[in-house]
Amino acid sequence: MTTIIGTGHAVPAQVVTNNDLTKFMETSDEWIAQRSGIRERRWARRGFEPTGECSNADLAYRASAMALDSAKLKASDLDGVVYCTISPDQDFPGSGAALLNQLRLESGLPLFEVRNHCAGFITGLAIARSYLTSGKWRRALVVGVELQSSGLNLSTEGRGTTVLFGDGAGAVVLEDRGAQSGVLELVLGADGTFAESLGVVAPTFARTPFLSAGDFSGKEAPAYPRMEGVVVFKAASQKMPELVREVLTRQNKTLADLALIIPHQANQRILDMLGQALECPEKVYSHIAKYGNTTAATIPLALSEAVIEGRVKTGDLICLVTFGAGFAWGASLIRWG
Amino acid sequence: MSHLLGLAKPSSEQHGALVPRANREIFQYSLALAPSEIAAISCLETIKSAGISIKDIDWVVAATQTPDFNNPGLASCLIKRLEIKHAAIIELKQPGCGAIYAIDLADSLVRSGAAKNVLVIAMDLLSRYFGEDTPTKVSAANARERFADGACSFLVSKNRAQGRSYRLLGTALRTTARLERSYFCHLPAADRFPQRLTPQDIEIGDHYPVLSPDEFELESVLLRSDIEQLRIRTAVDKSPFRFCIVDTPVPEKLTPFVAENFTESEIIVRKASSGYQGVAGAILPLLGAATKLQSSDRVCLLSLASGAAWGAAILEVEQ
Repeated sequence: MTTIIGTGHAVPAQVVTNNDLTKFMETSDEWIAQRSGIRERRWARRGFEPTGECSNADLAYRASAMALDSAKLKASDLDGVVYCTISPDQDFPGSGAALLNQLRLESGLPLFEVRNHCAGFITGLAIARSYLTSGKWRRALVVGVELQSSGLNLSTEGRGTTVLFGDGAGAVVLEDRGAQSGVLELVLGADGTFAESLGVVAPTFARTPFLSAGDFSGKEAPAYPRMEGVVVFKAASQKMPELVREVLTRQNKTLADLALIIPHQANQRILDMLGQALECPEKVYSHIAKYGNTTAATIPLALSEAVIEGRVKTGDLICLVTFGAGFAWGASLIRWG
Repeated sequence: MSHLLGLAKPSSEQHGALVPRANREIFQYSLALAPSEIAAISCLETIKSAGISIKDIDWVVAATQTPDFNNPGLASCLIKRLEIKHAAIIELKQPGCGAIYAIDLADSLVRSGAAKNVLVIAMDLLSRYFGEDTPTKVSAANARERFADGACSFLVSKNRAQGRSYRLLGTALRTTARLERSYFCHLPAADRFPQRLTPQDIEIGDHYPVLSPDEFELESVLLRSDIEQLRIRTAVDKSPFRFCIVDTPVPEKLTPFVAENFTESEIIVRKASSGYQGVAGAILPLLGAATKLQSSDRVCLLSLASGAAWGAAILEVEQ
């Protein structure tokens, strides 16, 4: 069974509070906290990091090195890497090669560049699981990392989404073990009906030119994130509890068996709805107040922190669940061990 | 062992044409069609050709660098057009070798039991980076001259279906740690603060892809080793390939390597006659060569591109 044998995470050093945002947009701590539960987030900026570096690949490297350490493995023990991000350090090739460079894997290995946004990490987990289960790989690294802060509209026009996003990374090392612990269940799904309700339009190859200077103007500027908040909230609040129940049912388990739910951290109100719908708010992990929404990084970052905090112990049944742009969603039931 | 079937592409005559680009011609799909429209045309042809139903598809893998939106990518828009609401989606951005990566991934999903029928779309509308009259810097001129459009789709399945099918004997994938300087697109760059991309970047043309054939370095030792290992692993080390299909944006740098390593095969190196078709270029020649292929013929697909990454796959014709 595919087992998580190491976890790690990294966030930039610079804390950006809600009050800090009022320096360049009309907003307030109360307005942001009320609508999202977010109090602060981390934004990478040169000059703040102790190492002096703060790229997407740097964050990925720090999280990966920590995950490898906790698994007591070297990078050379890996057979493949799944790199999940929508904010690479260059448009193409993505940041994966830079991560391999930092891990000193000069000869390289199979590396997937996955662009599944909020569902990125669980999609990455599914990819790695298929390689481990099929016997092609013995060990894999899955990284969820985002540097969202450089792609935001830093004006009042963009405040609806800009205040939500932060930077961060999380990573897991996976191994196929014949044990009873590991990934018991994993489901993924999508419905493109709402593809335009959440995301970033430009660059877009549905038109020429694929980018224009005009893409940065206006309330719904194509180069910046846009979100139909009500549509997303309604769909996420409905789908996430369904997914948790689905993976439990498939394994003949109940909510009482669950030790912890680690959901994608998009909005505290969605997390509250999840806890309410499942009647177990105390089991829903949340770090959104301090990190905001780090897209593909939220779940592995939260998982790594939960392990350090002692909220995930050997033998615990935990559920990872996500919903986001696409719309795409996923959940995984894991017996920790 | 997985099967590749329903290989299809949108009709070149009906949906596209050769257009002039910098003293040559490149193939371009109609600009009136969105990427997901072109993908849907191809996928419907795949489904029809394989004789399966849309509801039989449980995963969709999209390999492209030119989606409808920056995010969500092509897969979301494609399933909307195909009215697929029951499948998982994966969006890969592996310039050049995305199709081979997608084949290998789909094979893993099938072999692990996670999937029965994976629909793969490999498509790049690279011509859309540039217009005929787009002024570009010297660094982007090679890309502008070579970039064309290509699209194809196929199923990777547990079972064979109707029509031509191929057995996937094996694959080799590698992304090296080399920081690519011969084929890349620097912007948007998330690690550029405070903004990864600005209107000024666009006005001065810094957002175009760069292709520098002179700087292309072939990692020939590693590549040769991967191909040798793949041939041994798939037990085809002694037998010739009917075709070796090689796709890269810089074929002139690869031709000597291929001639040396595939001496017994009929080699199809994707030339720039219709331009560089990105991820689709590694698969499209299979369609063109279909009438020459017979049962048990073996074909090697090889793609090299951005990121000093490559993929190779060995297929055997089943029917």
